[in-house]
Order: sequence, then C-alpha cells, then structure tokens
Amino acid sequence: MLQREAGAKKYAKRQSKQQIGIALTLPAIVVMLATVVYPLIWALKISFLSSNSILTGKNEFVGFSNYLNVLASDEFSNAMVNTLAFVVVTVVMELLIGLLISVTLNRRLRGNKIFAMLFSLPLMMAPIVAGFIWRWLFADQYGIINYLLSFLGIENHLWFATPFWAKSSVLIANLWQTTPFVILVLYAALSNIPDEINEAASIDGAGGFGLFRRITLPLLKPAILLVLVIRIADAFRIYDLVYILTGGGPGNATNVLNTFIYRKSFSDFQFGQGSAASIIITLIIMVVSYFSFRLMRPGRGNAE
Amino acid sequence: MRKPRLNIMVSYLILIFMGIFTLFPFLWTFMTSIKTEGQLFSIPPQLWPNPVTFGNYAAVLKDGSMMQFMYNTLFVTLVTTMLALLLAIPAAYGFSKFHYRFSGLLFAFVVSVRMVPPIILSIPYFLMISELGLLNTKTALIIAYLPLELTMMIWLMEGFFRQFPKELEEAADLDGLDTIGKLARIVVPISLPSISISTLFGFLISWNEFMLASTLTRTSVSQTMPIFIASSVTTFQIFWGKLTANGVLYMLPVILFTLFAQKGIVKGLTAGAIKE
Repeated sequence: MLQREAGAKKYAKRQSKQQIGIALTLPAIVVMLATVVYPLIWALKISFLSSNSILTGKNEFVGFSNYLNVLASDEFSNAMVNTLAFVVVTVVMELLIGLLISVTLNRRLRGNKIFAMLFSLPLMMAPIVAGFIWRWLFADQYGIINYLLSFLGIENHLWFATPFWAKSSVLIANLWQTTPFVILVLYAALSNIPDEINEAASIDGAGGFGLFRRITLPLLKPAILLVLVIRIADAFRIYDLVYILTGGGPGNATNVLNTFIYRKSFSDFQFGQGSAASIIITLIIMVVSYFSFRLMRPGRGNAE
Repeated sequence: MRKPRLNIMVSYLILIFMGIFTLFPFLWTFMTSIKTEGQLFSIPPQLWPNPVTFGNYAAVLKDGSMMQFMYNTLFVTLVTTMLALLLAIPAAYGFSKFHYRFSGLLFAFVVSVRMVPPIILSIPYFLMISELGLLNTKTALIIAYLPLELTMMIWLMEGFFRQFPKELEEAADLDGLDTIGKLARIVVPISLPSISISTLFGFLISWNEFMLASTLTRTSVSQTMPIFIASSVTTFQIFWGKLTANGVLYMLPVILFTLFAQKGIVKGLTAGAIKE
C-alpha cells in the first residue's frame, strides 16, 4: 500500500517535472517557430513561384523551374566552385595554423596568456570591420602592405585587379578573423590533456613529432571535429567580407553563393531563383554538418 | 619537461609572428585615424604620425550621423539581447534539467538553427517585414536578430546549466522554493558569470550583423554601424581618416569586452568542445 502510494507520488512528480519543462521552454520555442520555421516554409514556397508573381502578389506556381534555372546558370556554378574552393582552402589553412599556434601556446612559455589574449581579438570583430581594415591595408597606392612589398622589389601590386590576388586577399583577411577561433578551441582542448599522459609517452620513448602524432592528435580529435563542423558551416556563409573587400570582383572572380543570392534577390528582384539557390545551399550545409556530426560521435566516446 | 633553448626561440618566433599578423591591422587602423589627410597619403607612409591629430574623431563626433548609427546599433542590440535573455534563461534551464517527450529533439532543432545560413531567411523576412509595414524600422531588425541570438544563448546556457550542482538545487527544494523561485534566487545568481558570457556572444551577433540589416533598412532612422561603414567604403571617394575613426569607435566596446572577459570567452567558445 505504502509502496504504491510512493510510486504514484513518484509518477506525479515526474509528470509535473515534464510539465515544468514544457512551460519553461515553450515561449522560446514559439518565438523560434514564428521567426525561423515559418519564414523557412515561406522561403520554400517562394522557391516554387515565379519571381514576377511574388512582387505582384499573384503567386504563380512554376514547379522546379527556378531550381533548374539556377542550376543551369553559369553564374551559379561559378559561385558554387568559388565557395567550395574557399571553404576547403580556408578551413585546411585555419586548421594547420591553428594546430601550430595552439601547440606552441601549450608549451606554456612565459607570456603565453598574453599571446592567447591578443590572438583572440579579431575573432570578436564584425566581418565588416575585418573587411574595411584589410581593404585599407591592401590599398594600391597608399596601402602599407604594398609599401612593405616594395622593399622586396614588388612595385604597385594590384590586389583586387586579378582573380588570383583578389581571392588571396579575401582568404588572408578571413584567416586573420577566423583562425583565432581554431587556436582558442584547440588550445583549450590541449590544456585539458593531463601532463601525465605526455610524460608516460615520453618514458615509453615517444618524443617530438611522434608524440604529437600518436598521442596528442588522437586526443584532440573531438575538438578538431567540432572546429571543422562549425568552421565549414560558417565558411559557406561568407558574405560581408567579400561584399566590402572585392564586391565579388574582378568580374565574378570572388563571387560566392551568398553574394550571388543577394544580387539575384535584391538587385535583380528574382526572389524565386534567390530562394531556390538559398534552399540548395542550406541543404548542402545540412548534409555536410550531418556527416561531420556522424564523424564526431565515435571520436567523442574514445576521448572522454 | 626539458625545453631546449633553440626550441624556445623558435616557439617565441612563431608566437611573435602570429602576434604581428593579428595586431598590426588594428594598430594601423588606429594610426590612420590619428593622421591628417596629408599624412595619410604621404609616400613613404608615416608609421608614427607626427604631429598626432584627433581631428578625425572631432569631425566624426560633431557631424552627428555617426552618433545616430551608433545609437541605432546600441538600441537594436540591447533590446534584442534583453528579449533573448528573458526567453533563453528559462528555456535553457528547462532543456538542461526538465526533460520531456521531444525535448531532446526540440533542443536539437534550436541548436541546428545556428547552422542555417541567414541568407535563406533574408527573402521571407524582407517580404514579411514589408507586409507588416515595418521596413526600415528598428523593430524589423529586432525581429530578425532575436532568433539568431536565442539559438546561440540557449545552446551555451544549456551546457552551463547542465553542469549546475544538483546538491544546490536539492537544497533549494528543501527550502520549499518552486521552480521559478529556484531559477531566480539560486540558479541564475550562481551562474551569473556563465550567463554573462552567453549574453556577450548573443550581443555580438546583433552588434556585428550586416546582411539582414542591409536588406531590411534604408535610411539612418534604422541603419546600423556595419551599414554605415560599408557604405563609406563603397562610395567613390573614401575618407580613410574619418572612416577609421568611426571604425575604432565601433570596435572599442568589443575590444574592451574581449580583453576583460578573456577567460569567459574561451569558456564560451569551448563549451561545445569540451563538454561531455
């Protein structure tokens, strides 16, 4: 009898706990439904409507023709290639530089806290800030970088005039801004590795690069994967920096998916095609994120 | 551990090189802001301006348009962040401690919004906001930024609340506090440092946002600093002295936050990386 009463009490408590959970989270969920899910459904709908009919409010259904038009356009495939190349190159470079710097920081030399603090500064800045600062650094005639290059015998280098150098300038400015994230996350993960592990490994005869490759790197795997997931998704969304630094130029050389969609939608007012393109890139990001998360799971279990 | 001398030197070289790469752009921006127009375009460039002038700052402050953009930015950011806090604290607490059917799935949904590219929202936002007659208002930006801040804050705070010691909550239960009382009187005060960090990350989202602002706003009634800076850069003639002065004023709060909240920032950034 007593037991049953206790059971009923426990059940009631669990149920009220669930109700509390619903009550606490409901307001935020409702806001997210209204400001994210509802607009997303709208974006999906728009992607199947003709652009002219959206502006007049007639909402004429055109099937997949927006998608087909986007996928068939050279401008889109150019933006797609540029974006993919940017994502791969920037994430690989961020990871390599981030590993080098975080491992160096983790040697805990005098002053390393100050270095870590300084390295984190660009991370918190608006991409627009990174853009205008680097545009001034890269300026043709009065830019400090060209002045410094002149000592190496390179005169009046035009950073934004050729595709290769325009791409490089976007890459460099982006590395400046986003590598700190990689450094800080990897450094935090490294400082969580107990000293005993390294000591035990060096007693076993592992040292230097061997120690790094066989002991440190596997322990860092979860942090590296987390960095990859976040940085890949963010790199796909690059817009502000390109807009202010090169405007997508010269020609379409630095046009990325986001600048393409923005131009299609808000300069050409092709909302249908703009929406279709944005659905395509969202799907790509979702698929990539999903596979990176899948990769992440087993690594997590091993390290903890 | 032994550290051979050569190794230490190489390490310092790496750190110093990275330090220059990181810091020089900031320094150069500041140097530019304290130069006269003549000094800006001198060849060779003056590394340290002589004489130093604060004329750009005086001009920018006197002109007043910068103040309007700054006010808009601050207003939108503060209101959005306050609303986001009010919603995110209970939500994160609920997700971390009061599981119910689908709560895991709903939390995953909230977090996954972080991965959604804002450009996909820009077109429906533009059409919705125009239908509501809110184009070119600060309200439009608040509506657009609220979900972006919410997803960041709920994600970070959920991790922090999950680590909140059970014993303290049980003690509060014994004292007869209900859930809201427990949250307001025990959990929030003790988690204040973590909440501040989550708030800072949310704050920066609105403070730094550019793309949605460029679609939803048109004039200085509602435009924010990133728009102001971007439009100064893409005009025919760029006044670098004034532009960098504006940039420095816009960056200053962020730089101060970064330096003073250093420990917390690392904690916030790595909340996902090292949480079990």
